[in-house]
Amino acid sequence: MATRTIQVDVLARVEGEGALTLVLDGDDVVEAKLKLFEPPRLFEAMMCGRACTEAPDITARICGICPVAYQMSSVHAVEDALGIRVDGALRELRRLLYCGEWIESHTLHMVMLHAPDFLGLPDAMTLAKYHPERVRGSLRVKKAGNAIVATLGGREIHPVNVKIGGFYRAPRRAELEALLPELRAARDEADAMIDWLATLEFPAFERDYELVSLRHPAEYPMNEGRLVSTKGLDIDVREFGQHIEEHQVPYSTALHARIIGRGAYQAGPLARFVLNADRLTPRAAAAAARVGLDPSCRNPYRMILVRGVETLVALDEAIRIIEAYTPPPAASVPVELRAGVGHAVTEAPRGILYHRYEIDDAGIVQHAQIAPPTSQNQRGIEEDLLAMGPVLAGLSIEQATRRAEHAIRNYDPCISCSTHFLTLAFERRR
Amino acid sequence: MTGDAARAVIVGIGQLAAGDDAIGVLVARVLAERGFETRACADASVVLALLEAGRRVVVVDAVVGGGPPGTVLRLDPGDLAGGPAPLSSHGIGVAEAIELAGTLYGERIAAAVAIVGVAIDRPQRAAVELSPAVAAAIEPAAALAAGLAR
Repeated sequence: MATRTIQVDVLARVEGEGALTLVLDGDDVVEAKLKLFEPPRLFEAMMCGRACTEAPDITARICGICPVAYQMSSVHAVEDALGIRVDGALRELRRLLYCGEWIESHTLHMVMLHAPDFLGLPDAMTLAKYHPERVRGSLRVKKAGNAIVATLGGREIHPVNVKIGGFYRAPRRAELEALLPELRAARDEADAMIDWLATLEFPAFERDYELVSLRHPAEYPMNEGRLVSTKGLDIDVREFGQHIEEHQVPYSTALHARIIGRGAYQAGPLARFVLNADRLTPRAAAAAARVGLDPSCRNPYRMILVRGVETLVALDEAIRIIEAYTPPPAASVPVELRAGVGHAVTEAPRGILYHRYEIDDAGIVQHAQIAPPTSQNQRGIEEDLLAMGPVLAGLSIEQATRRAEHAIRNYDPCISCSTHFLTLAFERRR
Repeated sequence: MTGDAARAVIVGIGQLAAGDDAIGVLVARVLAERGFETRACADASVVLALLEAGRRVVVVDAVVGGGPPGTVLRLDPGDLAGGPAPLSSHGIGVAEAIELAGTLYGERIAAAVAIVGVAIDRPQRAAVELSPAVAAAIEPAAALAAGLAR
């Protein structure tokens, strides 16, 4: 039996460290193992014995790219346990902070990390030689997102202003208004970026995914909503553990996840868009229609366009929130410690991020569970690669490797978050 | 943040809670307390924004292949290819940012970057503290960056 092995030492343009092994037998990929082998993140254990009020600042350090997501899921889960409800301007400020992170993260991934795959270019530096205007524009959009996080979060990396019950300090109206010119200019740049991305060639590939996201009665989801899917899941986020189970696989330090009784699912921009297309802002809906995106989309390569549409949502929402902003009477609501169990799911740029905390009556965390989106998406990514056999079998080793890496990057994997870099190996049996 | 436009902005790059990878961020914090204009980031894209705005930049980042952990290195952009490699978390590393700046804004602008590297073995995820050798490099790295920023 002829065997061919493809070895790539580092999968670039993903966050963290890992490896991929694909075994090809004729036109079939018979085995796909996404091996995430950074030392396991010990944040769940680190939280045990710590004050629940420390959760936002400790868990924010899980990731330098999406610290806001960790802060948002942790504050909402702890507040759920303590029976605290944050509304009004404080709630809007949290949504604004999340908008900043979506803008930063999505723009970085779309143009600097993923667009080179579609153009057959090795990296963003080469892309900049061919499309300097687009790269300059994307950097301006990203900078607008950074500015939100720095203004509201206190600093650009690992923001420090979020606390249980609200914020340490609510911004003055003038501080937020100062962001508006940059955000409005970024919105025009984002529209142009989407139109450029729509000129890319998208590989023909679809699967019958179970797509999972939050759904809110009125908003494109970020911080709250019910957990819904394209195959009938519709649950309160507190029921996450009754419907979704995490499990170990021997080759990865990140847990896999599956919907009990059904199997792998996908979270992330495509899921949010498909399940919430009717919640887009008018400008984002117009952009989606212009580039031919509708809720029937099941092609993960088109997720780059969805990220563009979501960048517009985040910019629209940021502008709306700032224009309507009146500072809250207090930067936070009172917090009284009590025993309880709290759950939250929020929409990180890469998909749903679940936190669960058990807290004792002194406010000490007794147990913590964190299910990051990349972890939840691992098996679905492997299933995409398993379904790509006929495509990969006809390609050279180098081409097949590039195609597999491209497919993985559809999901913008943040491996550090999920515990866990990518070394790629193909084995061709015949 | 204080300082004037003539002074360089000191950009600390790194990831907290990833062991020695945090060194750039921690050096930037020390210099912020001493009145320097600083930024702390997980990736180097902020360097591009600063260069586009006409600012000089001093980058402080962890490097691998730069000698024993804690060794403080004064690096030029040209040193990065094949030399000690600054670490980037996601997306744009220091070498990429400088190359991009050259393409997007011109080589003269890209030359307005000085780099202070601190040698580390490798990031340790979920490690909150710096190793003693790298912790001992905070002051010498801060002194070198401060000198370059003036």
